[in-house]
Amino acid sequence: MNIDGKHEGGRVIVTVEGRMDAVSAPAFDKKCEEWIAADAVVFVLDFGGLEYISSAGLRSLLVLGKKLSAKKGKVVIASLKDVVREVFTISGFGTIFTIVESVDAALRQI
Amino acid sequence: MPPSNLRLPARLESLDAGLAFIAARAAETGFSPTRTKEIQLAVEEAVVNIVRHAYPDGPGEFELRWMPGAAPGRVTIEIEDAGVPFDVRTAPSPNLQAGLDDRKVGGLGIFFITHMVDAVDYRRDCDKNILTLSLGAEKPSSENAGSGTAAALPADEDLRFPLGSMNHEVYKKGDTLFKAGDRADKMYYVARGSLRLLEIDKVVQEGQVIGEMGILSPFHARTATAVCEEDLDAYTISKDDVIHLFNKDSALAFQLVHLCIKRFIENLRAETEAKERIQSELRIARDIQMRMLPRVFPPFPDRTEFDIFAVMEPAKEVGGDLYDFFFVDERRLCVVIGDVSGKGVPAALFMAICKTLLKTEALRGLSPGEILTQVNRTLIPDNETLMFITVFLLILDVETGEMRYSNGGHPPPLVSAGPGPFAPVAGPTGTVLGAVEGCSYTTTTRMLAPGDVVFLYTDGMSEAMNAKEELFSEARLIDRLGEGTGKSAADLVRHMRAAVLAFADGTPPSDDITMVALGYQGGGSR
Repeated sequence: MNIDGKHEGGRVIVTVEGRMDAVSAPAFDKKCEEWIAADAVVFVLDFGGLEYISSAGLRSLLVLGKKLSAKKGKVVIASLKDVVREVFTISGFGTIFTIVESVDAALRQI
Repeated sequence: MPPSNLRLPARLESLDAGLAFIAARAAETGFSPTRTKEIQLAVEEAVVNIVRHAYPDGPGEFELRWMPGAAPGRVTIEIEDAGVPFDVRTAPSPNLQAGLDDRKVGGLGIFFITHMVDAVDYRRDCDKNILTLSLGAEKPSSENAGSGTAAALPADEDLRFPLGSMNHEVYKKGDTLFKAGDRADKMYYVARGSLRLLEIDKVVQEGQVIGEMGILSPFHARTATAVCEEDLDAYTISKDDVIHLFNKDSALAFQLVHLCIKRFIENLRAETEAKERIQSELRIARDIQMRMLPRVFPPFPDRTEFDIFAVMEPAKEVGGDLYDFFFVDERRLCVVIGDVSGKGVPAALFMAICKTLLKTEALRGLSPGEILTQVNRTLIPDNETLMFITVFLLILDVETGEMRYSNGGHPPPLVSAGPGPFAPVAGPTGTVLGAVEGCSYTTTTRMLAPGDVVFLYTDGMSEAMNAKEELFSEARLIDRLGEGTGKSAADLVRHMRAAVLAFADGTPPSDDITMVALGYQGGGSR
């Protein structure tokens, strides 16, 4: 899993590629912790390159969402692909987070 | 051919190797990349569960097995560990409708497993947990997927309940969930443990549903009492929520109705079978009871000194009345009539005891009073059921016509002197047998002349009722007996039976009816 992010004025655009599973999810948590520590409150997650997510990955997203909610921030998730979209749908996570088609759409929303 | 088994340490670091193994086998099988990821998701959730929970005390291993399924294109994956027993199917499902703030972290893994494969099975074998996933090239189509209304836990008839939005209730072994007659306000899905329905002696196990009848039938009362056989995890849903469910998920609602109809038929069949079994046992019991009473008439074809006939007609299959007659020696005939308190099987069993005791004591050569005294003495210590019996016992010397008798609470027999009217025999009526300790019974003597008739009966006869709730009564008995002058004992009994039936005029008897007619014809060598 590759994680990359651009933090600018409390808003961070995170690109996640590869697989977000029980092994890799802790790395995602750690990165997010760092951005939150640097006062990021709005996260745009670009999942266009994310091929796989398991419950461990969803758990990380839920923890992130709860932390930002406490800071009146938010998470917007862009570009869900096949299996990842399916997992969001069956788990009900599609209704927990704001899901948009693209990063551009996400930026317009904020 | 690469191995289709892979054994790995139960550590998170093994996950990549495990999922790579799955990917390789899936590619060989010809599964699409998307399907491969779905299968990996199910396997990952199972493996992570093992890594996190199976071995709390130290290192362990797990094994993945990729096996051909029952049909072409079908695959069975087994995931085995030797850790603490855990049936994933019993895990509660997450609340899929909760928002961000209410949503609990975790609980989704097992939910995913069930969504990605066609069937999830679990068995505990040789101290190992074996999880079996059956799957094909396509993810199972699920109308419920994404709707957030149903978890995929297998239940009765594959009912898929929305456990996440049901109430989780925990009970201890021995707890009563509900009693027969209680108002039925919710139904239960048993996620763990088992319970027993006392009245129908049925065990309800994990994965089964109970209480749906109370909710869906027009009779809103529990039909049985449910007691936990083990500690129990249940998910309950109220009647209102079930109605709500019907609006949201018609497929589930239909299954629920289906289940109810199936249960109803099962219950009906079980009840019918039980009833038939009891009926059949009662028929046998009736047969046995009837065989205990002398039924071959004339009983002593060589004897010309007397004529005897008797009937016993139980109100139910078996009765608590008895009659008996036998010679205690060459000359002396003993005749007994008795009536046990109560009816049915308990009375029949008590009757059998009494009949045996009376005969045993009589054959010892005791006087009627001594026989009753002795039988009462024997009955008392064992009689915790507080049953009792009324007995009239006579011993007739067929040579001389001397009749000695004793009465323990029984209606005095009616005796005619020749063609004259019938009248109750004289002498004291003692206490019923089996009720009062230390009673002694007296013996009364009366001489019978040839042509005299003794008519013994139980109160089922004198208290036979007609539709106007009038009793047949001793007075009517005496009247109707008077019409039988000159008849044989058998004809007299038949005459009286017809009289009582005509009086009752279709009103079913509420008590056993017993009659014994004894006509004395005189001793000597006629």
